[in-house]
Amino acid sequence: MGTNRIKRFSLLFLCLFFFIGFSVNGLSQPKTLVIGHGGEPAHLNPLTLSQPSMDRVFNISEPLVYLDADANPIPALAIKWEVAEGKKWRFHLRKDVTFHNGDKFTAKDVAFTIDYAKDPKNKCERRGLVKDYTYEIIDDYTINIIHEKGTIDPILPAVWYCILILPADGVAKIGIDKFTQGPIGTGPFQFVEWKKGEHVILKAYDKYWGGKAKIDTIIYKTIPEAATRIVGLKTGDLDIITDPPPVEVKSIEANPKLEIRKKASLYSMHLQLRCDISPFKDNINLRKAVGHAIDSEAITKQVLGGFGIPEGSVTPNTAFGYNKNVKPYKYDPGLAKEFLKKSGYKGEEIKYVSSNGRYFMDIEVNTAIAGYLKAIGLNIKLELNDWPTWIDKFTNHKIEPIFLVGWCDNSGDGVENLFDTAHIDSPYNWLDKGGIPEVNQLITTAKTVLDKNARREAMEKANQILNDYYYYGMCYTPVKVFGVRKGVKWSPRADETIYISNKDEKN
Amino acid sequence: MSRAITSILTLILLSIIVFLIIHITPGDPARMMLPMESTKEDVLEMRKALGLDQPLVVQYLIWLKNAIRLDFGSSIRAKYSASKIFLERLPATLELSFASIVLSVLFAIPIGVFAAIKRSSVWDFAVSFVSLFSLSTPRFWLGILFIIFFSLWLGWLPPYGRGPGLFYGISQLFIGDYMTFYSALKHLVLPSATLGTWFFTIFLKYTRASVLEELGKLYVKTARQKGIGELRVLLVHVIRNALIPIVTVIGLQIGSVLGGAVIIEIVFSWPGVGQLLLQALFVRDYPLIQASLFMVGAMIVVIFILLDILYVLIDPRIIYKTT
Repeated sequence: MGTNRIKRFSLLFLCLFFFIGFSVNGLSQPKTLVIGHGGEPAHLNPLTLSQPSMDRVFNISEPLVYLDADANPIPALAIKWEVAEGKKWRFHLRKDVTFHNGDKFTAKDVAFTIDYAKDPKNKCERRGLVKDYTYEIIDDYTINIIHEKGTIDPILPAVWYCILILPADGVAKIGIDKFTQGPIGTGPFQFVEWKKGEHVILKAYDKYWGGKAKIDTIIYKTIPEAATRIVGLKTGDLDIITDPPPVEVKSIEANPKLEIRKKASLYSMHLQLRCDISPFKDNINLRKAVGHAIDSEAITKQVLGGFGIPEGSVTPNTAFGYNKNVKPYKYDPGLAKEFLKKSGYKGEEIKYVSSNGRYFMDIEVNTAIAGYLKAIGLNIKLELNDWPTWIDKFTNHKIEPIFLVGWCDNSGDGVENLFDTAHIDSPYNWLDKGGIPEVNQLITTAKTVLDKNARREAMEKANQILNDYYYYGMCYTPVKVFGVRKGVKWSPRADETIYISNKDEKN
Repeated sequence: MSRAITSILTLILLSIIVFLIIHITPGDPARMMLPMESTKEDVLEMRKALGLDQPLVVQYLIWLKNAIRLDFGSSIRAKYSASKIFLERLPATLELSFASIVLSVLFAIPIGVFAAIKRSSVWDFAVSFVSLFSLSTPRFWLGILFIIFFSLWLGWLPPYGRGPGLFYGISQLFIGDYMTFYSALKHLVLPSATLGTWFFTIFLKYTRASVLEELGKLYVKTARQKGIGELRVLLVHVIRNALIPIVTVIGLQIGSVLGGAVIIEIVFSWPGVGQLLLQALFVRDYPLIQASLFMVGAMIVVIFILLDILYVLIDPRIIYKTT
């Protein structure tokens, strides 16, 4: 009897031992998140990298002020920011932060970052955001940012969310060339490896100021072909993929282990009508004809697969300053033809240029729009240009009278889109003789006044005036789509980046 | 010696043509680097920083002077030596090209010989059908089909990526690590089979035609009449003579392999030179485009020289004369 009892206890003990052993082992299993990305970064220097390639570096380096998934400013390396002396932005820096190489983060790193970005020799993509600024270091954890003309940008902290802070000593130690291939930051993940054309591997930083991430490793895999990314998701190789084509969305949703996650973007796509040249100059009836000829609802539903939101302005519904009373133009081909008749249009050819692969489904959207315009009697000649050719024409003001273009104000504020498209000081203002005086004034107010309500009112009014002017033939907000494995706790962001926070998880 | 001079002149001419074409094509790499809202002045400043404000002739001569020292400049986008970037990616393309050529030759030559021997039979017809199908099918589509069938449905092979790489996998065999080699092979199968289908058809047709031509010659009849066995006639006499045009075709196709690899590299996310060049073209990364095309040109020149040597080894009667 005693022997049996011993045997029973031994068996129970063994079972418990293995159960606990496997459980503990299961708990300590490294969690790796694998992301299938369509693009390969040119390098990993956060200040000289173009926006679409920023996904990896946003996990490695941080700005002073970050934006949450809905583009609201939140503390990052700065815990507090305020306007000081009426014309300076004062940032109070976080004290318990170290870079991945162990160096402490201080105001001198912010100063170094600004100097680096300003220097034309470094060819920083972000130089335009910092070139007119200087700084005052008050102490190790306080720094003032000052515009050289003494003006104040009310949204500077949000605008600078893509100015990711470089380690002054770290760059000096390893040199900028090595840093560009393997950056050091303060973010929740640190750089491990970059196999060019294949993957970037990041691992959780133990001493991250916000607490160690729940995901141990992130692997960004470069997979240019969308069909291949989808197969990778379905085979279980990938956890998140970017930009599945609309035709594949149903097959992803039909898979019990997968789902689609989406987020309205901060991008504004719009059909720009050049009001500075014929045939749209001084011809509001022709512009009205275009506006009412296009069924933006059908385009976003059928062409974009529902991943677009028709809008009435270039301020997307995700951004501050959006005016919900400014509606998309009503699709009415009969009305469009009446306006066309009133415009005096005599059938002359109107050139329309489409970029090729720059924007999501750009060729398809432009082809659909051209079809609508031809249906009411416009003689449209649609031309495809690759992006370098397109942007060359755009920069040199040689672009065709109609073109689809996207602007993105990643600060989450609508003022920059308005400024870039419609203010007299913008080089890409397509209004005649520098624009509409009232709109210029409203945009200037929105860019310089600190009062949020005054800014909002100014932007809402500017959008209404431009809508009444039929400056844009059609507008829509793209919805960024991701294919995701169920059990991955991650949310898409309005700025379209795949940022993995220390709170995201994978089961 | 004359071959060496011709080769050098060819490369210089190639560099001039490539330089001119990429510089006169619309698109400005300085503009490509800057955000949308950048002004013309911002672009001019960037062009100056990149040295693109110099006259074309000056830019070319600076490039040529550096190229002689094997310095092809820095990639505008990657800010890193263009030649280093190219050389980092080259092994992947060589691996893919080599595997696809080897696979296609391994299948095409025996099947081509068989089709020639069984001329006008049902086997010959079947081979013609397969080769026509293979030639008519776009490789892009075929690649995706292979991925869906072998990766998604069967789960046998990975759908993308290079894995550890064949060269590394082979090196690991020497320390008894078979799994790394196996993983490298698994990653290589689908892309090399996809790329190889095109060449399989071409080599197959040439092999069949070349063997048929040899089989009709007098020396074959003589050999048979002397009592030499059919297999020996085929292997020792016919195939050896038939190889010269086949080797020529293989050599000519090597340039196509490097070009055809671009599509396959995109579909299978193969990190090779083709994908690199395509990305460089999209952003007008002049130094990287020039370096890549120049080095590919140099490789092809070397391959053609090696082919000439191979001819002599196959047929010692071939003598190269200088005039």
